[in-house]
Amino acid sequence: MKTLRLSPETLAVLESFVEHPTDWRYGYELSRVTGLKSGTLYPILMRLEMRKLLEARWVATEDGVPPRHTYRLTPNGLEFARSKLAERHTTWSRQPALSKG
Amino acid sequence: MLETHLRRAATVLMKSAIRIAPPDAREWGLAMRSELIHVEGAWSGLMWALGGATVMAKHALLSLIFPGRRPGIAPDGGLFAKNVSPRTAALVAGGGFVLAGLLFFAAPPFRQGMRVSLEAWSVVFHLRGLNAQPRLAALAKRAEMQHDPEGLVFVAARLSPWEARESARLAEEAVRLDPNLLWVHAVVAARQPQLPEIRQWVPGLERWDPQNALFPLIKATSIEMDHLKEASKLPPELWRSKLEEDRAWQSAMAAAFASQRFDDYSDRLKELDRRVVPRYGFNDPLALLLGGEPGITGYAYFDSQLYAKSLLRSGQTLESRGDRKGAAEKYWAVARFGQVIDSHRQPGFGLWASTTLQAMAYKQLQALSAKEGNHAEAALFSYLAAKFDPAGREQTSIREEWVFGREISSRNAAVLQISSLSVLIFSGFLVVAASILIADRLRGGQSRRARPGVTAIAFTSAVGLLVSSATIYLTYRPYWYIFQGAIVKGHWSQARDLLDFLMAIRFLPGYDLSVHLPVYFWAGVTLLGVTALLFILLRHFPGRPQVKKLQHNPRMP
Repeated sequence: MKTLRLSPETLAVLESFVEHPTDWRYGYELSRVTGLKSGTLYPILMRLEMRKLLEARWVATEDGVPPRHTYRLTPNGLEFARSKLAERHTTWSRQPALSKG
Repeated sequence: MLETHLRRAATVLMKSAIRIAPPDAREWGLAMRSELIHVEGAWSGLMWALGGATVMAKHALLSLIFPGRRPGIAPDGGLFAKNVSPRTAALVAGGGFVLAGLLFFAAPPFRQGMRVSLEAWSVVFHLRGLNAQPRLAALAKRAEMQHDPEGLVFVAARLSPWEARESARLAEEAVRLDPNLLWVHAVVAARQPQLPEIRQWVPGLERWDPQNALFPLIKATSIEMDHLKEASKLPPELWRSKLEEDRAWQSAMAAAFASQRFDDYSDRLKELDRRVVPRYGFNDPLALLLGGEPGITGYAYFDSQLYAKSLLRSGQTLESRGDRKGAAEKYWAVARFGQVIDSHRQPGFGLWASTTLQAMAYKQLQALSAKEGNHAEAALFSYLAAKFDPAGREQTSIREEWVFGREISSRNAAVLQISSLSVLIFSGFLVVAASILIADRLRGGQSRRARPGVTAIAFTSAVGLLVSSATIYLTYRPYWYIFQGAIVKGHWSQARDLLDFLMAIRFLPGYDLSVHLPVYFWAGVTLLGVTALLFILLRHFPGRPQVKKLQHNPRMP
């Protein structure tokens, strides 16, 4: 499988999921948390889902309101996200030293 | 109020986006749509829908370019989904191309270009409807009913020689309605020198516009026509000498050569055209510009040359007798007549007559000056003789200004002819293919095997129709502007290009390979492109996986 391109936006989405790993999250909620527009957020979700890092399901809410699509990371996805976020943390923690030097 | 509209617009946008999306992306489209009602603020909702629609459009485009890029996902007949119904996509796209092609018919430059370009093909396919003469006759009827003398003049000046009597009748009727239009007699007489009415018309014209060289020229041409009736029985030299000895002809030509001015009334006719063309909507450049050229005809050109030669001969005789003054007068008579015709600056035979006669006369004057030892004058006449020498043809390019040039006009004419034929061929294919598809549909789609091929032909023909229509429009557009400028505004400065183009378009391409080689090359390239497109489509349709029926995705709500 092709490695997933981890843009800052993707990392922001992953971080948002990692904060509440067991919760099912709505698209609009993720958009508000990450500050990403629908045109950016959904392609990321689609790519994560295609690589089985994310699971999605439809949930019925109140009467008369259409069911909503909800998302959460799969166990593999959670592991992947944590490793990538750790990588980023390491890189970022090194960057100030490099920049200062 | 605004909020409701924005919300509605956002919903419609999302729904439309989902409709065009490929099946594998639709679930995500529905996901974005379901979130839409939870988005706070109408503008934010619209932005949300806009983002969603962008995502769906991107996937639709990717599905079109890379069909079947995500195998294993249940297809359900999306518009751009390759492995679902490329036939539907091809038919929808083909329909769009046909519609776009037909929209060109709404543009006047396209309609005029199409009609003009079919002129040469009308001879091959016997399309009588494209002939301007019946339309001119219809215009004459309308003008007669409305008692419109200008409409009658418009037609009388353009009817073909086979309808000379009708032309004369219309001219007389026009003059009866408006005596100020007497000049139409001269225009008709110059075009139809065989008319018996000319003997009655010329005296009236001479009284109305004295000193115009056109009337004696018409008279001389009319006499020549009488001689021509016996021409077939006599050898050419004898016939010519009999004409030269005819006193009436001599007298007419002498009067023409002694005239102080020349006016063929082409300016009056152009002014009249500017009023009549919009009045009757007669926008046929071929009939207007090639069918009604007033002025000096081939016969008058021949008469002028014959008489000029006889004058030059008599000048040489006088010169041999030592009467140089008398000789110079004869030579100057020829040169002056050339200048008189030249002063009108008309193209065609008028240009040829003026330049040829002047060149002939200046050559004689140069020789005479050299014999007299006047070398400065001889040098001047030598320069003038070279300037007007038709063999050099330089004066033609000086007088007649081009923007595109003759070769470009000739190539454009060939491109238009090929494109108009392509429009006819592709339309024919399209009608046949559409009929088969409709018949198949009405029978319940039993002949499935035949449909992919027919769909491919329909799609390719639609592409061909659009490309050919666009080519006609773009190629003819500059000429349409020249035509409009000339007829409506009276700007004739670029009409040379249009005239060359119209002259070229009356004949099928092929007579000049050096000019038309690029046309054939690009026509070949286009043909190869169309064949390749057809080949790809024919391979594409039968090779696709057959989808029996819509599969349901249990995950979708």
